[in-house]
Amino acid sequence: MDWSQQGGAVVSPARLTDGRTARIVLVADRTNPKGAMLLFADKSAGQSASSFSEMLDAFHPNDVADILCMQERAFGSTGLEVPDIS
Amino acid sequence: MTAPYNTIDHLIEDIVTLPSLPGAVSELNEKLSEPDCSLSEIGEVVSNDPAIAMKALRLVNSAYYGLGNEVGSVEQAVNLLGPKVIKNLVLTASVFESLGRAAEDLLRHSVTTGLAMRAIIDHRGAAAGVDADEGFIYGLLHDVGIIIFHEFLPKEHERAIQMARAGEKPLHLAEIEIIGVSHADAGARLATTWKLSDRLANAIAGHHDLDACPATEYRSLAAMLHVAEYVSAQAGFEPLPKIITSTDPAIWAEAGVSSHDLPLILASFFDSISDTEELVALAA
Repeated sequence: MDWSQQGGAVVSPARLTDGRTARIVLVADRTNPKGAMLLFADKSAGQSASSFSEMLDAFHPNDVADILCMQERAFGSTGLEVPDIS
Repeated sequence: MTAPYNTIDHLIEDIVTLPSLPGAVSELNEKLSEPDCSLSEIGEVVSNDPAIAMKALRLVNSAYYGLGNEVGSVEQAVNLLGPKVIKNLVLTASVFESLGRAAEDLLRHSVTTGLAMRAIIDHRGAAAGVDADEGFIYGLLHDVGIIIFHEFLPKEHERAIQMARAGEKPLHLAEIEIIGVSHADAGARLATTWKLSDRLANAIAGHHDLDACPATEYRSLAAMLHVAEYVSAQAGFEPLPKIITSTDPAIWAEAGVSSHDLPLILASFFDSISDTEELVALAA
């Protein structure tokens, strides 16, 4: 994943196991169902969004671990070191 | 250029002196193999090594064990926990004693890999093939080879680290190129020298390369250890600064961990993170 900070959100491009591309947007901790969202850009229909927690099987486990750890580091309460992203 | 040590035997004969395991562990193993061994005899063996006994008591009273009531003596711990848990407790205390020379970053990485291993094993249940306390020890020991290299081959290991940081190859392959063996090889040999279980030695040997796991029946344990290490690094506990660990897709399947399992495993891991500093302090 290639994380960057955009305002209050942490975002990265993502590639799904079916070959689609999307953007993962982290805005709140893991207890919030909308804390991690997946944005798809569709040329005809515009942008659509899905909750990351409902799309787990569409991701490789490497990426799921990366996304959940980044969410915890950026927004969680366990005191993990906040990564140096800009 | 040819690496100076083409086998782990060559390395150990020539330059490395492996640290010895505190006598309390081997004595305890002997006692536990006796069918009529009493709990008081077990307590006596542990009490005879004051450093280990003190660490075991600190550990049993830590949040990691979460017993609630304070345990004041080794005898009380033995009666409360029973021989099997005491064996793991003493081994864990002994490993912390031996890890005292490790850099703090590596120590945190080892502890959090152990906590991640626990979370994976708790989630998989009996299918994991190992209990969670033992799995924690796998995490504690998996990178002990790095400590050995730091101590005996600091310049060579630093070159391997630089090669890995430059993205030329993963650390364990850089070690093989420069030293001749990897930290996984060295750690597995330490586990064998300490007469720890074959499955622990195999899991350490294969934690970066499942094909380096001598016994195929232990590949799943090696894969779980690899995944635990990856989770620890992603959570910010890299073993060495700017060393990125990567995970082969097939390893997740071998570890029995799917994308769907990860939210629960990681929630359990994150919940245990607060134990880290207390456990790291045990190595001091």
